[in-house]
Amino acid sequence: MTLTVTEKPNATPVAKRSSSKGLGWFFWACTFWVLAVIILAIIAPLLPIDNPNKTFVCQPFSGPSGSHLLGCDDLGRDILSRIIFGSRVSMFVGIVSIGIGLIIGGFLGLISGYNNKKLDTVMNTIANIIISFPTLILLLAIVAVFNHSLIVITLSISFISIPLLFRVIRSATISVANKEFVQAARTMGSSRIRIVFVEILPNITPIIVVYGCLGIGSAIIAEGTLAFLGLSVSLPTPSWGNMIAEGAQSFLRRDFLLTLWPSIMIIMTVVCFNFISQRLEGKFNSGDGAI
Amino acid sequence: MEPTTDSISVENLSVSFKTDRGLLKAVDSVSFSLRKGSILGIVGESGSGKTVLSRTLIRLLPETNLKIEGSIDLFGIKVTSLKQRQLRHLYGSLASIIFQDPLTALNPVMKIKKQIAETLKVASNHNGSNIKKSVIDLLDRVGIPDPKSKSESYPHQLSGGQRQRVMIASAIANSPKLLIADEPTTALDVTIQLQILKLLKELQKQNDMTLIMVTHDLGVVEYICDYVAVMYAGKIVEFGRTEDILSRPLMPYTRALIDSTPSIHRDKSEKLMPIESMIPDPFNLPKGCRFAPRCRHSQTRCLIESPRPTQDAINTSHSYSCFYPLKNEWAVSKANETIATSDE
Repeated sequence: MTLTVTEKPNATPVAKRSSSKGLGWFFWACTFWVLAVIILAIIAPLLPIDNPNKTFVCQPFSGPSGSHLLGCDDLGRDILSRIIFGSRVSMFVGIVSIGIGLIIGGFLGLISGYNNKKLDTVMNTIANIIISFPTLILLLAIVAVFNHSLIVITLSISFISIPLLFRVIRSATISVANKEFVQAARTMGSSRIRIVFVEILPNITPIIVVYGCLGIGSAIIAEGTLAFLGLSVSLPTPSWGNMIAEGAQSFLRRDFLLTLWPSIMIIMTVVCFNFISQRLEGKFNSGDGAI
Repeated sequence: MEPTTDSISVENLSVSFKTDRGLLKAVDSVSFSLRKGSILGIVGESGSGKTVLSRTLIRLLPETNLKIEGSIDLFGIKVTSLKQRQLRHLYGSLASIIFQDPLTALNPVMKIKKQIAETLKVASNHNGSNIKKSVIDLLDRVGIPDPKSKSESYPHQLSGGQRQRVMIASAIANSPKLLIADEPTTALDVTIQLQILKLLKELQKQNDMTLIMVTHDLGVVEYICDYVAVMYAGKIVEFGRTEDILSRPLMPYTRALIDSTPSIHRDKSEKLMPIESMIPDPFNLPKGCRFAPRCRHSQTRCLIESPRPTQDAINTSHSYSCFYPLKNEWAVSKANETIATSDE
């Protein structure tokens, strides 16, 4: 009896610690950062900040000050405001392109993974061909043929993400499709569509989430790279990549802060997405009942 | 697909896998027939082809590298000539299967009630509230205590026996005419095994289902089956009523299986008789009778010619593939055995 009494208060904190240890504070810090950036991007026009394209709101190259927290750039535009408005481009490209990639690549991956060999071979070969192109050159080619509007950039990045996501989801589908419960569902008369979307899809959601987060990080970098080459959204619309390009190409010696701020934003955001992805992957792999 | 006849008949069924080493014949010209409402046990060692046979009956094996010859007739439906996309209509109300391990056979991320509801929806004569009630009825029928609250659980929250009951519930949800149970009790606790067998027997009677049990446990066969098919290296070597086969086996292999099974009623002086060596390599099968190299009664003829299924003269429901069947009387066969062993 005494044993149970002394055991009990000890047992709960241990259990609590191990469950909160599941994701860790750094994971939540990253999630907070990502959500903050997304929310600020959405409500940017409502914030009490200067128009990002308005010139000479302050002295050009003036450093951080009370009224302009991150200082001003070469044309006297408020850097904080440009960063917040710039995040709209990065976030839009990252989330929408990977969203499209997941919908199309995921759909094709599910179909291909749970289907006859022929279709699977054909689709896998096409994916392999697309993957074998150098990514940056393919991106440049698409942007050069069309134009460098936000939509074209988003679609071209999603085009590149499709075969990669396709392959991940296809292999996950194959591993789930071979499980007995899928066969059991078949013997109960479920249709193929039903098996794919009701039985298999919920089992690979963890993988979709993990690779989705990882993909967003990569898509943000891809957009930044294009912007650095002057092929993202046209100036003066701010984007993090644009700002780095402007700052680094013309004024790096004069005022490195112009380059530093957007660089920090890209690095932190991408690191956060990657960390969230990695942490979730660990969590899904250790949890019981998960794949 | 509407059933037109009252029986299952399998004729000259062969199933082979195309492999890198050539064609692997897992089931070799098997024939048998079974009346509706009876229970057939398929027994045999690992690798004897019993699982392949049972899954081929409903064409469940992936067919990319598979060759099926012969014919399968399930209640008038020619299963072997169905197209891949027609197979779906075979499942559910005509045939269904229960797997060995209920944990892997249930979707880990789906609640019990949804899994069973999914099956019911396939039959389509159910609507929303109807389904809810049917799910709880089904769970109640398979003996899940407090079915209403249990229907909200995930598979990992249930015990092994309960999971198997859920599996059975969804397999019988559309009252299939044929239920195949692939070692349904192997993964379970012995005390639960009996409960599950009782349940299967009861449900079989209620629904007038035909049940095919794949097992290597002769105790299970004795308890539940009306007929037994003994398989060895892809062939059915003996087929007949359970009591005939277990008390008067004609084929030495069946006899050896029985002798190697421990029984609580067995005399202490009797030793368990293991079957020497291993099941033959499927790529390199013996020329004559496949059991001959391991058989203690084999003679020269057995090594050269392969025996054809023969009907027992007295009991026509009993057939066997052997040139030198054991004498019918248990006592005589026992006496023979002692002579045979002393001869060696």
